[in-house]
Amino acid sequence: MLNIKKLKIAVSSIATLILLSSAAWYLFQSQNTKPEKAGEKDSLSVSSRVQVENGITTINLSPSEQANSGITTTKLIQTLHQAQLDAYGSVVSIQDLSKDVQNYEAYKAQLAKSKESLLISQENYDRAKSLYEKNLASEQEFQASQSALLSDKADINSALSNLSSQKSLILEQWGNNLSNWIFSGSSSLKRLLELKDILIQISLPPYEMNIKTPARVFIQSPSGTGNRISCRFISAGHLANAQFQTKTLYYITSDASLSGGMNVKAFLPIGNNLTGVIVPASSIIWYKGKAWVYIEQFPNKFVRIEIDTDNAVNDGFFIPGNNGVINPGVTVVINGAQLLLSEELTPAGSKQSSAGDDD
Amino acid sequence: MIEERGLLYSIVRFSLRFRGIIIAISLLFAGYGIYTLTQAKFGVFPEFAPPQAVIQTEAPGLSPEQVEVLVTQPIENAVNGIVGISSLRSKSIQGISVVTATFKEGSNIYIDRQFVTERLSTLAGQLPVGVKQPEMTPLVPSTGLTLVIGLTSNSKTPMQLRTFSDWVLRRRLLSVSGVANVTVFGGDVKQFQIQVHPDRLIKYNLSIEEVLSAAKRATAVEGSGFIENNNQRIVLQTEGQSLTAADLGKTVILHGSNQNITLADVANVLIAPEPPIGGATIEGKPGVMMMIYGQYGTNTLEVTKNVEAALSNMQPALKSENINLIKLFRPADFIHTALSNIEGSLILGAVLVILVLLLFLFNFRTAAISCTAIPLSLLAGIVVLQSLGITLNTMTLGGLAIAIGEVVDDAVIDVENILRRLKENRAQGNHKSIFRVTLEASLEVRTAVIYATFAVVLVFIPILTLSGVAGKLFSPLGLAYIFSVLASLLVALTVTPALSLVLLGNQKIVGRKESQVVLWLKSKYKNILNNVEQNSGKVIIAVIIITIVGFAVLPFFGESFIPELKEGHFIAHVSLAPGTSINESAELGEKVSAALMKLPFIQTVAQRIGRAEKGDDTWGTNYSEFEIQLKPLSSEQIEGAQLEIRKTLDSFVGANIGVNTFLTERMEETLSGYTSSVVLNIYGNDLNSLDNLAQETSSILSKVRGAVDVQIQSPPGMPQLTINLRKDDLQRWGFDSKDVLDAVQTAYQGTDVGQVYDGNQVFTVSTILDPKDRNSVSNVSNLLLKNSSGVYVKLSQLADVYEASGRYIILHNGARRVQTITCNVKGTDVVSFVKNAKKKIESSIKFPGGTYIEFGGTAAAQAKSRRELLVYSVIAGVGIILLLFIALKNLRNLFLVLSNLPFAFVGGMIAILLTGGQMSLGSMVGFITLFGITMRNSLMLISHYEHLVRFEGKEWNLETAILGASERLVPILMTALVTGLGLLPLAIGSGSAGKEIEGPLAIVILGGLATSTLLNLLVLPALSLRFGSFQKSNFNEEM
Repeated sequence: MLNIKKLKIAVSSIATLILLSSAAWYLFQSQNTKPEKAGEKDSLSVSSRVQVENGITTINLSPSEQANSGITTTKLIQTLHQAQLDAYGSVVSIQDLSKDVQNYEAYKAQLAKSKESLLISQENYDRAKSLYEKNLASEQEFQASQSALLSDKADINSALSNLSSQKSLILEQWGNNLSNWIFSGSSSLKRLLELKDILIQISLPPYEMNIKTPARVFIQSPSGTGNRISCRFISAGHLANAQFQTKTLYYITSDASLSGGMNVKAFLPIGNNLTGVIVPASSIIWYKGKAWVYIEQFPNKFVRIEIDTDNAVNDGFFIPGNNGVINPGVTVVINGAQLLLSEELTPAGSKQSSAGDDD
Repeated sequence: MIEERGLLYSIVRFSLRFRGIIIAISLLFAGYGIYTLTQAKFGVFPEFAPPQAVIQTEAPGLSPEQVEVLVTQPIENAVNGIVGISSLRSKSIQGISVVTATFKEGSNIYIDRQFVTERLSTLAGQLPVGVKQPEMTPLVPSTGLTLVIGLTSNSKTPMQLRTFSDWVLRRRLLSVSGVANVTVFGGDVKQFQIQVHPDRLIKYNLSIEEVLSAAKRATAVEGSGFIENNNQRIVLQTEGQSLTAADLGKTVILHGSNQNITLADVANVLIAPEPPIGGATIEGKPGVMMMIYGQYGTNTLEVTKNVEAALSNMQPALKSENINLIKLFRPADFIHTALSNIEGSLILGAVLVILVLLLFLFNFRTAAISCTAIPLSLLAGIVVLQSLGITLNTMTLGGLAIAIGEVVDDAVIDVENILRRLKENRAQGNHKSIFRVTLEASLEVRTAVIYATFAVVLVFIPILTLSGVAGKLFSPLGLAYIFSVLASLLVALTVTPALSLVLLGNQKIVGRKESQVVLWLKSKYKNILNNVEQNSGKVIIAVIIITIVGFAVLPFFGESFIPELKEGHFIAHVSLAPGTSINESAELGEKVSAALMKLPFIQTVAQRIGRAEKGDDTWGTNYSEFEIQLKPLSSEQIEGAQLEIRKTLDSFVGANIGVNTFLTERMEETLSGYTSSVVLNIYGNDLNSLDNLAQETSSILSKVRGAVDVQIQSPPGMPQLTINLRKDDLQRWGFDSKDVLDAVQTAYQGTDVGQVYDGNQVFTVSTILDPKDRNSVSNVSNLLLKNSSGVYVKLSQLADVYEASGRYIILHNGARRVQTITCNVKGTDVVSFVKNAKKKIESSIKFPGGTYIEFGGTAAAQAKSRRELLVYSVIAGVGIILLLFIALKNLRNLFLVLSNLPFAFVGGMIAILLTGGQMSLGSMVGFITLFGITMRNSLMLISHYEHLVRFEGKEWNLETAILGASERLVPILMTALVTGLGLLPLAIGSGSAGKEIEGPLAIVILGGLATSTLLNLLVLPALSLRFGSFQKSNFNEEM
């Protein structure tokens, strides 16, 4: 049997142990549930390479880290740029033009002929009338000359009407300048009809029908070489193109590689020449519905900047010179922009195994 | 002295009478056992995944949102009602829906799949036009990956390499017995493409539809019937199909008066790569990766052997094609290493056990009899396991290793008692026959042993009833243990007495003295016992204090579900921002591979990007997995290698990484569907709200101590170009929606118009926009469409085309929308990490109505396993107490037996503390096993006291207590030593391959066994003297 003293020792030992265990447990628990450190909330959920200050996210990468991940940059250089619209057109078949010219000339000739005929009829009528009034001619002869005169007058009206219709048609189809060439029978028209010059009808793109007519456009060479053929503005047609349902413009060129009936692609320069930079396509990333580039704001510090995509060029976007941050001389990331975006979006815990706080 | 009736008596008597037959049968059985062993199926782990059906539905061109609503939801609705579904997860990504139905454990996978097939057939007509028939992916086991190989070539183009893989190698591998699926990543999939130039369409006044129609005509294959006359039937075969790109190009689209307009006039008709959904790099160079999966129910080692034989046969073909084949990952290596490690432990344990037996029994014959029990019992266990279809794996072998101690103990108790009684009989002048003495001696100890054995079987009930991955892993261990122990009981009842009679009947042997070691131990032991008795109060108080301290440190232990497996191979997951192109992922992959290859311990590195056709994964092109094969390393080196790999990957900008081993991933994936230990699901209806909450939550989670690899599984921010059709404009220009959508699909997705046959290879013919026009964002709104009146209209005239931010994937869990965040834990344990994370998230984020969070992964699984263990342990505990009460028929003695358990627990705790302080599931199972072994030892001592008082007429006093204890000293020490030494090899290399799970289990048993043996030998006699109740036999008590 245990005596009282031993029992006391036992009980006090157990009590001490329980107390010590409880204290240790409390310490352990409180350590695990320590509140967040002051200011900890200010830093966002980003990896250790990413800093957020005043709402601006900066990615810090040492030169070796950039080299390791293949991140390369380039300085944007100033460039002149003119905006351009892509459009479709066709080489006008000379048959269409010459038919209109022929019709016009035929109606014109018909009118002249009618005019001549009227002159004779009028003279016949005047003579018949005078003779009839002097009773030197029969009433039948007078009426016959009168009838011939009226008929010739009607022919003139008809010829005038035909000519007028034809002119309207020509005007509608070919526009003022080209119509004038037809009406005036200019040498330029002759060159077209002799196929020394080629007439091209360009259909303006939809939603772009109010642009200032470009004096000169370029069309893609049918040779497939990618060469562009320069064309001079002649006339603005009043008739919409049936194939595209848009306004048409006429241009001419002397390039012999084009044949009537060919459909061609055209490039219409619009607006004035602007100074700015071209951001290469390889530097652009799309995120949250917008286009962005990473610029090296300070050495080894990269910031994501939104760019304007209104002026698409062959291999990127043109940014006019006065567009805030993206200026000539700015260094943009041309290889590895997506890696930087990934870095920016990576939560801290996914990198650096010791990144978690110690609370 | 003994009751001469009953089953036990009959069995032992029969075995002694027909000892020759018994020995012959046992030899026969041993032979059969060895044969079974040679034919046995080996694996690294038991199949731990519950039955699953994965339904994949191709929905070409549909966005994730469209796939979710139009495809995934109808499939979920159809499948959801099937009886026995335990979880339903889905992923809706661009162009594909993947629904995974998991069924309750124990259900028949084939019947489950039949149910799913029946339900899927009801979907006919419910899915949108163009969406393909839902298909179940091939049935593969959870660790079904058999081999990963890489193909590279200096002379072949990526397309030639891929074509060889798809049409030669893959087909050969699929014909290998046991192979279920082969997925191929990388290279260029050969396709005949009609790359339409919009300018040329304008030029010839044509539309895409007209091109499509012509292309379909060019590739059509039609049967032509036959001619039959009086004699013969002659089959007509038409061969007008275009077979080359040039032939296809000659297809007439429009026939004019003077000339024809052909496909070649409006398009580049050529062989080109199919728009890829995945890619691969092998050791930093573009190549092809092939992942070979074994069928459900097959054996990985066997399938690997078959696959390697097939690959070996293919070597000449590979060589002639100048293709290099590299083995990137061979799971069989780990199986071999793990099995040989554990087999080594088993053999070493058995050798140590034999040495102990020789040392203590000091007699070759008695040691031989005891040792006979080891192979017989273990082989019996193996035979039963194999007949139940359970593979021999690290868990079953572990179960056998744990059982060695008890198996030997069964025999030792018998042999030792027989020997003692024979000596006594000799001392008394041989007044009983040797047969009689052997019979009585066997039966004398057997009753207690039977109770003890059944108590141990009851102890394992909680392990057998564990659910989930834990149950799947540990129940084979429990079964192996139980079968071996039951077999050993049978051996102890039959073979051991028979052998004892044959081998120990010799007078010389009986006459030999005890081993000097034993004599010395006994003399020392008696002295110690006297001292303990004199200071019994102090000793008891000391024991109580140590026990309390042991319990007090429990909360300080970390917990982990599955320890890190030393597979010698890692899978690194690298994800970039959503929308990253294959090129960018591959470019990064080449750099990552080059950096990793510089590490001296790395053998091969290969990267796979995105997903593969008919593959299980649904990753986007922003996601890569690197197969990193290490050179042969020690366990410690492997740990260091993982840190180095992680450090190397961390140095890459933008790479969101996770590094894990294959088997760990498969277990974690089985638990939560993800390859991470912590899974946080945020449920809700509004996708934007879920995305925002996921961002905030991941931000907080990443700050919790120990968080690594934090990943949002379906991150928003996928660049998207939205084409929103305007009905008024469609009407104005004479289009309907489908015309426009079809044209857009053809232009950017490509429309398959037919197939071209080249020998036995079949390639699709696809019509698509030419790459220059296809790959420009600005060009999409300029896509030209032609209406029925022949008017060309730009897409922008019919639709608003604008850049937006979309999702790559939309996840469902239980048919609810979910955003999932996953992470791994380093430097702390998973359970306390989750506890911390929960607190932080709850205090920092206010979840709007209808949204809520749920933690999953291994932390949740461990909590569930612990709860189940607790509940079933209570039930089993009650059963054991009842059983022990029947055995002892005395409550006080029952408590004496149980008094050993807390002390054993303390020993286990100390062992854990000394080896790192991590409480894993293995440790918990170790405790349960420990309780069984300890209880058995205590029971044997108490029942021996009962025997001394009850049957031998001794008075219950200090002298009897010391006599009983000293008589039981050798069996108790031997049991403890053989069990301990049997497990020692497992415990020593606890971190090495194959021992990761059983190592902690062995450590707990070793620690607990040490303390409980001390208590058993030193304190229990004192306690028995103080509190025990032993009375002489009273015949009336049984009435």
